Order: sequence, then structure tokens, then C-alpha cells
Amino acid sequence: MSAPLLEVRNLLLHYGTRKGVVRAVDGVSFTLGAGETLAIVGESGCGKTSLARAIIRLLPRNVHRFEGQVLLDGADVMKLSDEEFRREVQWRKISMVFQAAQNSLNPVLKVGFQVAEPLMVHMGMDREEAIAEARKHLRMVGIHESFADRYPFELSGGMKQRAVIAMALITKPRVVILDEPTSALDVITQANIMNLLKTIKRELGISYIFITHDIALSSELADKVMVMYAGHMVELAGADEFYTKPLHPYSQKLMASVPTLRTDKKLEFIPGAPPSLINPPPGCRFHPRCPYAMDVCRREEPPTVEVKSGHYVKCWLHAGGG
Amino acid sequence: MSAPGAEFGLKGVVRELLTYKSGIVGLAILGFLVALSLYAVIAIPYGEAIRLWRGQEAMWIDNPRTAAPEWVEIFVGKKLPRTIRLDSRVPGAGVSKAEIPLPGMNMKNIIIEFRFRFDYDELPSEMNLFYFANYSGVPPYIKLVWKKPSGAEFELIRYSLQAPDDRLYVSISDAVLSAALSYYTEKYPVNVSDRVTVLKLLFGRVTPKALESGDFEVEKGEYVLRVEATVFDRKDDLNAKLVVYGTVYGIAGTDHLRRPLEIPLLWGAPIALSFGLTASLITTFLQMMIAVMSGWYGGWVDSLIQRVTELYMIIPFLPFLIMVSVFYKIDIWILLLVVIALSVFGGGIKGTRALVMQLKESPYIEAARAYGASDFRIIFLYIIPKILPPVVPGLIGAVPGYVFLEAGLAFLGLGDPFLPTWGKVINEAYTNGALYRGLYYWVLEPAAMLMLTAFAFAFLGFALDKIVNPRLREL
Repeated sequence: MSAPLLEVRNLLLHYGTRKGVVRAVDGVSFTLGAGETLAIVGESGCGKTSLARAIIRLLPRNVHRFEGQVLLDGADVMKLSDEEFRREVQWRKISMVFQAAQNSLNPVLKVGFQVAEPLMVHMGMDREEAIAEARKHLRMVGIHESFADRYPFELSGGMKQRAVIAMALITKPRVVILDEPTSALDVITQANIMNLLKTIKRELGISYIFITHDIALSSELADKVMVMYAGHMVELAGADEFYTKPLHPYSQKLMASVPTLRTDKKLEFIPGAPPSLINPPPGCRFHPRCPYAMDVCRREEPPTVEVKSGHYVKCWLHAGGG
Repeated sequence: MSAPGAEFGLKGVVRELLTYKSGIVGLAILGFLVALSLYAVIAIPYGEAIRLWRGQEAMWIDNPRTAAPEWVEIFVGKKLPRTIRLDSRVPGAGVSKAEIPLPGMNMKNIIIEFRFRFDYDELPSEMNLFYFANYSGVPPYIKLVWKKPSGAEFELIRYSLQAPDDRLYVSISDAVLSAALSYYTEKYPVNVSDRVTVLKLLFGRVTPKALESGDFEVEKGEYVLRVEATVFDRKDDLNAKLVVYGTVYGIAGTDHLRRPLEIPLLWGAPIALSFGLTASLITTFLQMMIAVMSGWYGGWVDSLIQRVTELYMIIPFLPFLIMVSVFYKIDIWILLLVVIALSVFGGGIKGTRALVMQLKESPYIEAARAYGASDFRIIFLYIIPKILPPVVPGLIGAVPGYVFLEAGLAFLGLGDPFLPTWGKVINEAYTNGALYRGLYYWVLEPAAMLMLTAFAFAFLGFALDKIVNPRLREL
């Protein structure tokens, strides 16, 4: 893992709204190696999806600021124009599985055609060839080819999810962003999909950016975990280290809120809700909800420190060198 | 959208339509109208239809004037007279012609005898005699003799032909009236009513009472009209055609110019259908495209389109259309263009735009944008198929509106000047006082066709609405 496949440096994505500027992603940096999986966890409204959209550059109209560096194979794709980016990066190198995949399929197109769409749009493949390819990919994700000729409403939730994954894989991208890929599925189907994702990762060597609010689920797939809070990255660590010993108070609270089987544990929760991103609290953005909040937390924003190799924390508790 | 197991494509839609009563009725009426249109276009081609419709009176001279259709008998309960045509040039039952040369002279007598039964319960409406003479010098000298079933036989007129194609309007001829009257008043010396007419004397049972009151019963039986002509050259010839006009004609009756109403009723169907469908299809399609542009691109494009739409919605449509039709005498296809031009930015844009704006934010369109589908591809593959279901019933429902519009303009005398259409028939019925004169068929027939068309599309619209809008389905 010498040269990272994807490196994000100080990425900023602010939206302009009538009420003010929403600082959805506020200076996030991370690296992702080939075949690696980065799990991004956090509560709803922490900027996880915005980060994903910023990476694949699928932006709404009301972008206020969009800055930083996104290096793909060492080349800064932020320098590309929208059209160049669309042609060369979007879906060819970075593809995405959307939140609520059930709704990401056009109800009036047959599944096969839909899955083949990126090939026709991006690779200029002709229809027959693209659909043949789509059938192959459907088989790969465990859907019988005959479903290529069905309409989305004839598929179950899990099958639709598989079809959407096939659609994300069909252009053979290097990175796939999975935005809560299993959020609307029952646990059995969820397990199936997670196993499928693991198999694909092993066989194709694809890198995932796996966005979820389910910290337990993230442990299934993650090599690295990044915790986001209010547009900031608050902790980034290797999976083993993170799950055994999270350092940031927010991460600890998140871990404590995960139910476990068989042990009678009192589930913890974090009082309050993530702050408004229009007007974030001064200092550390987590301090109003933090049990260890100190004076300095209220005044100054904590720096991001590398506590150990590859383990970053943005917290005053660890700012002194641990 | 559709229930699982539903079929797709046109066949599926038709099959689904047939599961609704209104769908069956609508399709049946529409099928009938389409069959009628096809028949009209094939049986009476366009040029022929215009020739027949615009033809001078000579073309229809054998038809009765403003005759009701034959089926009104069912309601009247009487046997109404049909038109009887007898022509000496067409030999057949009831016509005989004899030539008797006069010895020693270059002359001959030609005797044409028309023999026909008249068993109807009402008097005929008119009776005319048409001559086809061929002479070089002196015109033939003619004597007409009328013989009634009762045996009464009298002379109607004696005169020389004025022209080779001379004609005698028997029913309004004063000479015939006085001849017949003098025959009967000799028999019955009574005060004759003013209301006695030629036809009453010729076809009525003449009694002193009838002569005094003017009310005659029809004398049923065999009549004979004998044309005794003297021609003054052996080479001369004379033929004649007798037409006893009925009071009913065909399946649709005739108008004031003796034209059979089948022609405009038949031809009205293809014109109404094509006008209504074309106008509806084109305006709906254009409105949809404009609405999609407006909703999808947003920003200033949206604002501009919406403001133009609001302006268009304020413009009074009908007065505008009437103004254009008055200033430029336009035919039906130009009219169609004007109608389309005036309704391109219609209210339909508002509703469709709202749908598009909602659809624009849906996840699958976002996904399409993510994998780089172009605007064009998204609009045609993602947005339009999704907004078609609510648009189609609207399209079908708008057809009768345009059909009525065309009829309305024709009624106001602003329609196509050449084509026979339903609206024009109503217009002519109105200007000729059809309702005042009790000629209800003249107005009711085209009106019924118009209503039938409206029903067909209304029923189809209901059924389609239920199919694409499952919440309206009956349980």
C-alpha cells in the first residue's frame, strides 16, 4: 500500500442556502489504498453523503464552496472540468451505489437495460453488447439472467440492491462508493448483500468507500474506519484498532450504543443532536454533547493529531501527544 | 405503476381497457367511427365528396327537398312516400313508349305511358316531368293525360315544348291546376277551398267535401300519366322522365339543396377525428416537451416559459380564433395550425412541469446523472416515460374539445369553406330554419354524431384514467 489509490486532501463542500452557508464537508482528508475499504460512520446529517458526492462530483446546484484535492492515482481530478470529469472519472473510475437503492432504478426501464446504461453512456457500447455484459454482471451478483428482461417492480428489495451493485461494477471502476447500501433491507438480506460485497472485493480487488450509520455493520467490511461529526473527520484509524480502542469521545459513545447479543448491556446514547452546520458551535463541534468537555474545547478547534501510525484523532484530550 | 402481471405495450393497454365497461363502450364507438371514416374516404374520395357537395342543383334534381330519413316512419306510424322515378330512356316496368307514324305526313305521334303504384299514406312533395327532345324544326306538341286509380281520367295540359330539355313542374303549374279544377268542378259544383293544390287533386280522393275543406285523403292504387306528343319530323325523337318526389329519402334525408345528408355525415367523421386527434396529439406533445424543458432546466428558462404560459392563459382563445377566421378565410388545416399555435403554451404546462420538478429529485434520476447520462437521455428515457401516464388520458380527453371547437366555428360560418362537416350541416340547418320548420332530423343527425364522438373519447379517457391512476379503480 505504498502509493494510495485515492487521496483526499482538505476537501471542502459548502452549500449556499437562504438561511446561510451549510458547511457540510469542512476540511476532510484521508487516503484509500487499492483493494482497501474505508468505512465512514457517523450520525445522520454529519456530512457522510456530502463527502461521497463531493468525491464523485455529483453536486446540487447550490454549491457555495467546493475546494480541496482529490488525487486519483496521483493525479488531481479536481482540476478537471465537469465535462472531463464526467467523461473520464465518473463511473469509469469511481462509481456509486446510492442510498435507498430500491429507488435508484428507473421503474419504466427493464433491469438489464438499466444495468447496461453506464456502458452505453460511457463506453459508447451498442445496445446488444451492453445488455449481454449486463447479464454477465447480473449473474455475478447472483441474479438469474432472465431477470434482465423484467421491470424493477418485479424484483425484491434484495434483488434490486444486487442489480444496483451490478450497475456500479459494470464499468470496472477502481473505487465504489457504497452509500448506506443496506439501509432499507431486512437483516438476512443485509447479510447476503454484505457477503456479496466481500466476495466482489476479494475477486475484483475493488476499493470501497462504505458509508453507514451502522457501526456494527461497518466492521464486516472495513479495513479503515473514519468517524465524521458535523462535517469534520474526528477519528480515522485501522479497523482493528478502532473497534478495540476508539479514542475520540464521540467514537466511544457510538461504540457504546451498539447492541450486542447475549450480554445484558445498557445501551448508551448521546444526548442532543448533531449541531446545525450553518452555525456550528465554536471550538470543538462536539463539545456541547461531550462528557469530557474542557474550557479549551469551547474556545478553540482541536487539531488533528496522529496518535499512532495511521490513527488520527481530532480531540483536545489527545492533542498533547496522547 | 402497474400491478404485477400486467401486460405492457399497446396490446396490454387495449386488453386492460376492455376490462372496464367504459373502455368497451369507448372502444366500440371509436371503432364504429373509424370504420365509418374509412368507408367514407374509400367510398367517396375527397375530390368526389367536394364535387358532390358543391354540385349545382342539377346534380340532385331527382331528390326530394328537405326530406326526412326513411326511418322516421317508425315514429310516425305511416307509410311515407318514397321518390318514384320513371324514365322512358330506361325501359322497365311501368314505362312504355310507342311511335305511330302519321300516314302521308312527315310526322309521327309518340306516346309515352308512365304507370306506377302509389300506396303511401301521404301525398308526394313534388312532381316534375323532364323532357329530352331531339328536333330540328318545329318543337314537339305535347298533351298530358292523367288517370287515377278510381278511373277518373283528364287532360292536364297541352303545349309546345320551349326547349329540347324543357321541363314541367307539374306540382306548381297553374295550367295543370286550372285543368284539374275545371274537370272536378264540372263534376261537383262546390266552393273550392284556397288550400287545394295540384298534388291534392292529382293524388287525393276528390269528394265535394274535400274540395270545400281542402283536406284530401290519398287515393291509393295505380296511376297513369300519358304523354301524347306529336313530332313534326319522322327523325325527331322525344323522351321523358317523371319524378314523383317523396317526403323521405335514404338513411339520412336531404337538405334544402336536395343533397343527401349521408355525404356530410359520413365525411364529417374522418374530418372530426383527424382534426380532433391531430390537434390534441400535437398540442399535448408540444406542451409536454415545453413543460419538461421548463421543469428540467429550471432557472431563467423556467421563468421565461412560465411567464409566457401565463400570458397565453390570459389571451382569450375563442375570440382570437374567430378574429383570425374572419380576416383570413382559412381552410380546416390552416385552422388546425392556428388552434395549435394558440394552445401550445396552455395550462397543461403547469401540471406537467410540477410533475417533472418532483421527478427531477428522485433517486434514479440522480443515479442516471451520476453515471453521466446526458440531459437528452434523461429526458427521453427517464422523465417522459414516467410522466406519460397522466398525460395520455388528458390527451384523449382533449379530443372532443377540439372536435366541438371545429364544429362551433363551422356553425358560426367560420369553418372550412369547401369540406362537408357536421358543424356546417348544423349551420345550414340553422340558416334554413330547420327547427322552425320541424325538420329536426337535419339538426339532430350531425349533433348525434358529434355527441357520439365526444362519448367515445370521454369513455376512453375515463377507462385510461383508471388504468394509469389505480386509486380511481373500483373495488
